[in-house]
Amino acid sequence: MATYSTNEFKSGLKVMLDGDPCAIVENEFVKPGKGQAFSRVRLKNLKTGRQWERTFKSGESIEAADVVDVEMQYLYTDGEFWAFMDPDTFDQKSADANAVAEARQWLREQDVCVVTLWNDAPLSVLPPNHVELDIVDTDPGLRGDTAQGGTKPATLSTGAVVKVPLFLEIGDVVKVDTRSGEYLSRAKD
Amino acid sequence: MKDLSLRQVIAARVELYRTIRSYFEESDLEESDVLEVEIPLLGHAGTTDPQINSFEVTGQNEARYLQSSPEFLLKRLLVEIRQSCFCITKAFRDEEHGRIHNPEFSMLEWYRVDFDLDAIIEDSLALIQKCLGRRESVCRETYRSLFQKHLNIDPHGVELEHLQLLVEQHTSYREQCLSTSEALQLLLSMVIEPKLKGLTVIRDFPLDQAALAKAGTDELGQEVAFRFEIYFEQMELANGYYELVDALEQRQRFEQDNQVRQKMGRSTLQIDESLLQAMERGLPDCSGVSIGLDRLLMAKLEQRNIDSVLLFPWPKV
Repeated sequence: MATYSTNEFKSGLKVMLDGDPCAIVENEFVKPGKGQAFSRVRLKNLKTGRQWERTFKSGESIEAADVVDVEMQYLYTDGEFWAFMDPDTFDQKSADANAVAEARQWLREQDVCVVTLWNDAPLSVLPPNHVELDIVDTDPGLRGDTAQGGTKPATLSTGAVVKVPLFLEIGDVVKVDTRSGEYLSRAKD
Repeated sequence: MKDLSLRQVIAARVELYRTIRSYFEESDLEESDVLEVEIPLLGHAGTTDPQINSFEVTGQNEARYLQSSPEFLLKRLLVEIRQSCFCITKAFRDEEHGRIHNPEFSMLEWYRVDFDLDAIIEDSLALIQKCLGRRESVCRETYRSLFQKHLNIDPHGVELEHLQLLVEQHTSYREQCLSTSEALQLLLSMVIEPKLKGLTVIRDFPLDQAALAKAGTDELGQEVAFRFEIYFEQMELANGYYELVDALEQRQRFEQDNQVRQKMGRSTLQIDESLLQAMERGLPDCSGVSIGLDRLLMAKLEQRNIDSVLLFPWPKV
């Protein structure tokens, strides 16, 4: 079992803490006078997203977490699981609702996402920064209002609801920033 | 916090060193001068202090150690010249790197002959105030009064079990492997330090944190180490001792250090026989202090990170 000693701590390192995989966010070196040194560490729980603080005596070590980020293609969902495939090895993984979380509203078949695997099972899914999706529902466009830059809600093929300019209609394809959930432009077909 | 230009950092350090030299020149605390001396950086002995790791260097077909402090060489010199002296030098400590630690750092160390703990504390405060160029409030505490004030315990008599409870309550340390002295150090740095303001003097340390200080009894009859530290806000600036002059006791402490190192799984070091021989000839009654100059510069320039006052921080050298 791989372990990391405090002198190997740095941000980004993936470790196990209380049974959960965590990433080190910040590591502060604390040393009183001529005394014992400590590492005061801020960690992000990769399952819950919560941040923890933990202190270790210099020289103590913690278990490494088998966590890797892999680029995988989204295939389909049966409503309970979301299937992803490694385009090089054709290896498939299914992610549950906890792992997919907020990403689900941006998943379009064939798009390549970053899937974080813990012990080979999906822990979280990061969609592409920009996705192009069809509008499946929105109020009819109100012509003439475009100059004022007004917006209206539109439901996309994945179920996501974003604010779009008034002139867009059902069947239009829009480009959305998944980090902010904001409409960017009309996609060129 | 101000962002500093390279030129401001250079100028501030020049001014700091000038102020230090003029402090010792103008010092009318003694009849004779306080001599500025220079000592080698590569010594034949490393420190046995269990919490300090020296850089080992090989050259001329032998092992040498970058000095973790000029203390041993200055004490050998003191035996010869028997006069107060100071040096501005570099010190090196492996595995110490962080917001206020750089593995290579600048240090001022000085010794005053015939000074006791009270006298050297006042001397240190005067120097620090002069270097900061402003008046900071001064809070005088003992190790005991500080723990009583902030954690309601007497650090000299407290049970380890009670300390472990406090550690669990007040810090994010969750293992059960602390000794009494480690638990006290953790509570000091994580609970007490954040509350310190202005300049704080902490004196009369527990005996197991004596390092090279003389032992004695405090006003309550408790055996303590005549050691002190001065903090600026939450940052330790100075560490000093009413110096241990007994060569035999010094040898026992070095041997004890090596036993602790062995228990910790660290390499043991050859005891500095040259220092012990000099002490056998007679180290004058004296007190000594070291001040981290990069930190003093941080305090003067109101910087939070040691990298801001270094022209070449450790990762960029």
